[in-house]
Amino acid sequence: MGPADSPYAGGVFFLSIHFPTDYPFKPPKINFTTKIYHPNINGTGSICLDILKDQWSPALTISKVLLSICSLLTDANPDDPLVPEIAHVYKLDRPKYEATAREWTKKYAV
Amino acid sequence: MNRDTFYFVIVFAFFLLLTENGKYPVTDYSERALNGYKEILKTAKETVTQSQYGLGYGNLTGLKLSYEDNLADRNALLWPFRDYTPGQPWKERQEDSLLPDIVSSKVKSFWAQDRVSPGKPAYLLNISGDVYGDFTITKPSTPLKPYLNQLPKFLEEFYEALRNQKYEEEKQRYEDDPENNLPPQEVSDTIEKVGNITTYTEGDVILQIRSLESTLSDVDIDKSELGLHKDAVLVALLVELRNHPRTDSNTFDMFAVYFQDTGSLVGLTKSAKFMGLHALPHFTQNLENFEKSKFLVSKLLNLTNIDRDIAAEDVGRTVELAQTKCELISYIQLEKTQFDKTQLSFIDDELKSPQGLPLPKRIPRIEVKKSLFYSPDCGILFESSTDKDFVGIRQEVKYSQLRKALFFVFLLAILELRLFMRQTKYSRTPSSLSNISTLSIGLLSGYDLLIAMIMTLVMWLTDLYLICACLAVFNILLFYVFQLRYLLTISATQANERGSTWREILRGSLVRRNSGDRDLEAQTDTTQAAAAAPPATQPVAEAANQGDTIVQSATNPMQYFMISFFISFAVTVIALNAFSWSLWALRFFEYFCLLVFNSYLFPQFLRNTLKNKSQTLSWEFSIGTALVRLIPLYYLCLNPSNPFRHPYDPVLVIVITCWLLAQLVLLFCQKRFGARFWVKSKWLPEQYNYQPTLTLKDLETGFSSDILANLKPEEQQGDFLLCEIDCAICMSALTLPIFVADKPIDKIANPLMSKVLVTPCHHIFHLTCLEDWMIQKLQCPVCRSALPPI
Repeated sequence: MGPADSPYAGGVFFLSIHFPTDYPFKPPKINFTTKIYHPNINGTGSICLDILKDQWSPALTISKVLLSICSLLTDANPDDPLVPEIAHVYKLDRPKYEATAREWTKKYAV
Repeated sequence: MNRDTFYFVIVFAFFLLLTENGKYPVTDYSERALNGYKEILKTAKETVTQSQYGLGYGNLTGLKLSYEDNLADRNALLWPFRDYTPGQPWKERQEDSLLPDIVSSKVKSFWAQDRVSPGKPAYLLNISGDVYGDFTITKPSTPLKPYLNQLPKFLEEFYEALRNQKYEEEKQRYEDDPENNLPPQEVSDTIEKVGNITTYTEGDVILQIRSLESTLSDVDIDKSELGLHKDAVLVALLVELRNHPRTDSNTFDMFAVYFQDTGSLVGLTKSAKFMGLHALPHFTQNLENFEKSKFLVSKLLNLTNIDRDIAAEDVGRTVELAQTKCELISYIQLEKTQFDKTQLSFIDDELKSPQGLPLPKRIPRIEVKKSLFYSPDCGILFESSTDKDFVGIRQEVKYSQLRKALFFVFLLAILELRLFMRQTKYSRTPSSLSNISTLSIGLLSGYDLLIAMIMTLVMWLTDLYLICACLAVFNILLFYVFQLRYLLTISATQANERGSTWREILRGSLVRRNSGDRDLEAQTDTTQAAAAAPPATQPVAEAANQGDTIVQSATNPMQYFMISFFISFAVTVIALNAFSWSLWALRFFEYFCLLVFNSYLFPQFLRNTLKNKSQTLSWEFSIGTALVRLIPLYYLCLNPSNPFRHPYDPVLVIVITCWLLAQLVLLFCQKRFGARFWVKSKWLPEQYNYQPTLTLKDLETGFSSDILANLKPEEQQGDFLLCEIDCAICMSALTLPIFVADKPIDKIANPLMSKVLVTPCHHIFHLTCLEDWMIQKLQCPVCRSALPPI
């Protein structure tokens, strides 16, 4: 569910979580199956999040990971984007970004 | 083109126009000097074409006085002093000749005495190469009187004007900008002449003999017929006389004629005051040689069109030579080889344009039987020492030897690459990586990078471009791809140790926060900021996030790259310059560098002691790299005829071998007796014990309140209270024994703790869970602080 204080509020987003055989020593592979307008999430749903890559720790639970994905939705990281165009909009024209995000949420996540 | 390019073109063109051939200022002095000099050259050329052996030197500057005339202090302006007729011709004796009797009699005793007959052993035909020997200064019983050759008046005035002008320029430059320029050198009346050796009587002599084709490369004629006439060859000869410690070096550039049938060479320097080249035929001791060399010299002189090719700079240069250098006359006699003329001719053809035909095993060397160098104007007689060999090898032979040696170095570099790859594989886990010393690997790689640098700088200078370039590329690849990557993985693993003392390295970094462990949720905000940073800079992000930081700035790959490049470049430039230093400085530098680069096992030894681990570098690696470094050293120092001309130095070999052996022995002792066999173990802090016996008091201090809250006392077993908590990795129950008795704790490992590990940051995990994680990263899963290896 999109966080209430973000433009994704009201949207329901589906994710696919795939656990590797050596979990918890390797991070799970998490992808958004619902389309979302976000600088760190691309068209195929891949998430650019450090704890899902090199900053993974075996003490992280799925709930904590999902929580960090939620906060990623609220506070994007435009300085290291997966989709540069969106990050560009995010940095230059914040209201436009939020409007597009809301639009996409309405279109795909409801 | 846009505006920037346009400006660039303008500035570039400006500089091009500025450097238009550095014209000498046209003053009346230089005009007069130039014309006068041209006249002299023309007359000299005429003299040569019309000269005859019995008629003496002719009207040549510097040769107007015979030795007797010199002794009698006659004035050269009153030349000629005697007439030569067919009945009373010019002879090689000090009455008629420049050479004093003592010199000419010596020459007659060894020079051109033995003519070769067909089918018998002959002298070398092509003698291009470098020849090395020793000389001594012979002082005859009556001291030799130096000639006081004067320049023609107009040339003297020209030279004075030139020097004054130079002085004025320097003075002006100095006054404009006193900080950046030296004060002008005072114009002195007496000049120290090059070659006027008074301070020592023995030294090294080096002859560099080259064919004319290579020296006259910019003259556009058919050179193949230039040098050879019947069996006399014109060659370019460079004689270098220097003292043994190599602090004083004198070089003389001259043209020489080599007679192949008698194996004898005669050469003379030339300058504005001594027309050595023109007089060369008269120094060849007999009529037949005279005719041959006259033909060659005339041909050479015909190459320059005097009116067109002589410019003011040439006059300046030759006048400078006249004033600052002694003249030199060289007589060199070679030894016979064991081959006859046809065989030698075959060898020469094959060396010049190799067609793969088989050559004899031992190509004859250039062996000088005896040689003599006489300076008429400085009055010094040099003779080669008979007790030491005066030998050299043909240039082509030298190049092929160098090529073979460099190819072998290339093979050694391949071996080094293989050793490195094996070592990388041997120490793959973060635990083993953290035990390797970066300084060790750094010194090892530094050696390879140095070879790469030297090859890169040298390859432009030699004909061995191809092999040097291959070696340079391969070593650059070896260093920057393999070794640097290994270095970076090691330092990334040890990044937690940066900025910490060795105590902390052993016991792991402690979390120095006042509050308890931070929840991972709070940390995700800050870790997002460092989302895609490369692993090496991860500690930077964490350092910025944590309160007090133990970890300082991390290893930036660019830093390593830059540091390594600049250090190696600096050392290479110094090393290449070192060849011009005195002998002792060179030897000291060599010893120092070799000792430093071969001490790469000491840092590893120390780190082993620190971490109490032995066998961190595989044996094949240590021994293999030591061999890779020793083998070239053995070749250079123990082989007196190595093509690099490294002196025979068994002392260096013994020193370096013992040094490396000592290091290997130390490592072996560590393996045998334990890594800390040489220090008392209580000097160093203990390795962190992952399985301590915990008491309730321990739990209250330092452990987070979560653990205490989740602690469920289950049962009592002997002195221990068994409690249950959750392992953060597998989320299942963990039995933790707590010591509750009042007895003092003994340090023996508690068997009940065998399945539990406690980190220095007070987090508890199953042994299997934490070990599996530590294979990948030495980091606490809960708080990410550095963990000491198990």
